[in-house]
Amino acid sequence: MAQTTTTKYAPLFMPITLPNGIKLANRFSLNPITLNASTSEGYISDADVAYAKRRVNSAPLQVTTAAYIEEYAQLFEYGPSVRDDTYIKGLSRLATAMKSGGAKAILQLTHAGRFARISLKDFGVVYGPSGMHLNSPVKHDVLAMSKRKIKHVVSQYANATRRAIKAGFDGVEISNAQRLLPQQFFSKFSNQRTDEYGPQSIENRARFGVEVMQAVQKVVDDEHAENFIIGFRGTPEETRGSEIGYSVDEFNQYFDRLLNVADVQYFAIASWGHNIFRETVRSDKHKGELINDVVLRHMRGRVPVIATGGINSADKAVEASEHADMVGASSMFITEPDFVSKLKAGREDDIDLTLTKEKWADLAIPANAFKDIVEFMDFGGSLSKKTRDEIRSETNQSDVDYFNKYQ
Amino acid sequence: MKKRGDYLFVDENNGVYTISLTPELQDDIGTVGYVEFKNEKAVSKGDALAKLEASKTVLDVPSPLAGKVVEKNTKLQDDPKLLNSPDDSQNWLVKLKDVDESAFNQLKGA
Repeated sequence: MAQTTTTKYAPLFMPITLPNGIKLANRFSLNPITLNASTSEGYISDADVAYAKRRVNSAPLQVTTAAYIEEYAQLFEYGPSVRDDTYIKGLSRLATAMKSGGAKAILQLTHAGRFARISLKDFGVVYGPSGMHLNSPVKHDVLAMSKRKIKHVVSQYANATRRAIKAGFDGVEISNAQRLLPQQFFSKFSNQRTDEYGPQSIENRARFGVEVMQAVQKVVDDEHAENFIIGFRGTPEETRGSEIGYSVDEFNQYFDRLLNVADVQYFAIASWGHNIFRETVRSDKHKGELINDVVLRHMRGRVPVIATGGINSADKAVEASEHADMVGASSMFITEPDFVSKLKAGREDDIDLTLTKEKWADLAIPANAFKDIVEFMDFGGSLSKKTRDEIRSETNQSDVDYFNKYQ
Repeated sequence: MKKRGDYLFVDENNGVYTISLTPELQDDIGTVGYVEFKNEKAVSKGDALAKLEASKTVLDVPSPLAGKVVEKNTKLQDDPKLLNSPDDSQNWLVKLKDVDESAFNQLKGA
């Protein structure tokens, strides 16, 4: 007897159509998660491919981990790169694997700006919107990007997009979340420039992100990449206690500016912390409202909104979907790649997020996976402490934590 | 008695007011990697108590109350990450005395 989806979970299995007409079978997306399993130069490894293959049916929209677009952009020691044409071959293996079950595969393009920890090791300096003198993990300077450097980085996003198209990806995602470079420009905390990329107005703070999106769209047009998906990930409000780096309204206006120059196909809401999908607005207007509601209302159906952050159960997925068009998860799919198919078949009781030694091989979790990044999972807490400790015990974690030593 | 102001906890005990980070502020700033205490003995409300470099941002922590700094958690200089601890006995920043009790009473309950 074929089992059917439990009624309360049925809304998660309504198909959805992206603005460009691409149909997705259900409301789930696989969020970026860093395996730290590529080579030290950023080439895709067999482990990257195997991990992706095991998850081809996890969600109809799948986003890779952060691929860094230049040498000064690198946050993760063993993250993938897309910084020159030699990366296309490996990325194409990854794209083929991710798409082999019918899912749409998106390559996330990133520049970590002043947080480019690995670049710091190579060069002793990092770039950001504004200069800074910092003391951790070692004393170093953040160099303010010159206008020429800005132009270079914009063209690196464009070139990375061209490579993603060549590699066979269905789209690219420009992450403006989690303190990556576009966010550093939009934030009044990190942007103290005095030129037209400075914090004097929304237009100026948005300028860098707008130029990136414009350049990405131009490549998509020039390459005639039909139905190519340009995705966006962003953190809709930046707070530091009672201080506001930018408000949700400002970020919504930013997104509108991006929509003016590019056919963005989704807006994934991302941040660090526990149960991000339940976060409420802290700045004055909309204070106390759900951030996701404020973004969703602003979009008015123009672009689907994807809720993420802490969604690790069927009930949380339903709750999040009441305030978004889609729901995304990452760490949940590490230990339960079959979450969605089980839920669809009414087998929610079989969903199992625990991790035991016997399951490693079946889950295709590579031996060095998540090297040094379990700390990120600690931030979100979607996997239990027991499971996180199991990952720690198995994967040769060094005692250099990403953010404990590098700020 | 424990209260909160400016996303900091203020825990009063026999006239000593211990300042620590709330979970919200801990989430906002991320893992702390560097702590530099300010030298001022007497602080006004809003004066910086310490400069923090953390995984998400760099900030001066403003004092939620005026008072005299009588103790600093110097362990933080070797192990800044203690500020991310959920344990109040580890994640405190400074202790203040000579605080105006009515100003303290006006803070919100923790």
